[in-house]
Amino acid sequence: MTKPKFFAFLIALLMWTVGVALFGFFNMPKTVLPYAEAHAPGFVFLIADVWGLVPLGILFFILALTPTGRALQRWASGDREVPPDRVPWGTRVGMVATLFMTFGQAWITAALVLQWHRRDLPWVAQAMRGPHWAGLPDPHHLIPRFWVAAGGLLLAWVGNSLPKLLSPFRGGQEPYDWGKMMRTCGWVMTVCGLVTVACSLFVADLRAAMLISAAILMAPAVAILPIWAIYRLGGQPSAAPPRRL
Amino acid sequence: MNLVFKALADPTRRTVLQLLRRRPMTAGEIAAHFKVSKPTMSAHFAILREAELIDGEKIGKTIVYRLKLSVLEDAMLSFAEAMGLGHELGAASSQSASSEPLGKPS
Repeated sequence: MTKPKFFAFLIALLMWTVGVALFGFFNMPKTVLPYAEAHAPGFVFLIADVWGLVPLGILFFILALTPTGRALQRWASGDREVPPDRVPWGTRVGMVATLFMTFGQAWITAALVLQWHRRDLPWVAQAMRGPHWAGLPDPHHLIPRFWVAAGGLLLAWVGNSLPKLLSPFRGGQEPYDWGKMMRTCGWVMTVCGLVTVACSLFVADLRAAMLISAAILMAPAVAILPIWAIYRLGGQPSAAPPRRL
Repeated sequence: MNLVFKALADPTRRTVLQLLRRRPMTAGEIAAHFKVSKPTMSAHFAILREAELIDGEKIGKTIVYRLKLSVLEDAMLSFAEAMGLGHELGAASSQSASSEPLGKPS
């Protein structure tokens, strides 16, 4: 990515963030304060969600570009640096993460706006965020289950596509067997995602379903570290000839 | 998805994918495992590339192929291998080809 394109991307990102923030601010009715007092912990958590995602995304994006970020990448790759002509690979990962987080922020802001206007837009609020927030009954907890299932599906989808990622290292310079590692991680994530979906749909008690789902969603993170360590410490570098991007 | 099914239906192409599981290989290295002509192997590679199951890159005079299977495609490959898809078809076609003399219409 060229410098002007990079700065254009950052400016667009900031404009998007400011736009979403202003939209949320001007849509905040006075009724939100009593609600905040009544639901303080949850509300604080949501505010942190809304305003924490974008800085986190930008931090992730910057980490992919700065020397500190590249030092971290180098350490994770057994002191082998990604060749300069392949650095765009790292920025692409950062960009995708940033976009995900920014759109996540927009989604949550939209949900908050709907919640604030739930008396005017009860059906939209019900469809978008759930009867609980719209003040309507939901005895079977269908909406929370839907969100957990959606998270599981997202995890399965990401896991499914993971082995399609090509290595950013040149052949013969890979610190571990990239293909094997990606395949193993992909399988772990996909299976965890699908089990989460099944769990959210079929476990009768919602709290148990949420707990089991959270544990399963954590499993890929816990599993990927040992997989990475095995391939970093014990894996053989690829014997293939070098390849260009 | 049709392209993936078509690519996985053939035992030779599945063997190519199994070989690439071990490590990236050049076209020549893969072809050395089969008793078929080079144009036939090229056709197999083309079908696999069209289905985006492998990634090929030309370096100098050689082409290096790498596996590019998603988890779902990996599972389909294992399933097709376990069921022996294409083997019966190949055996039947070779049997019928050997039993029916060429050039004699029925």
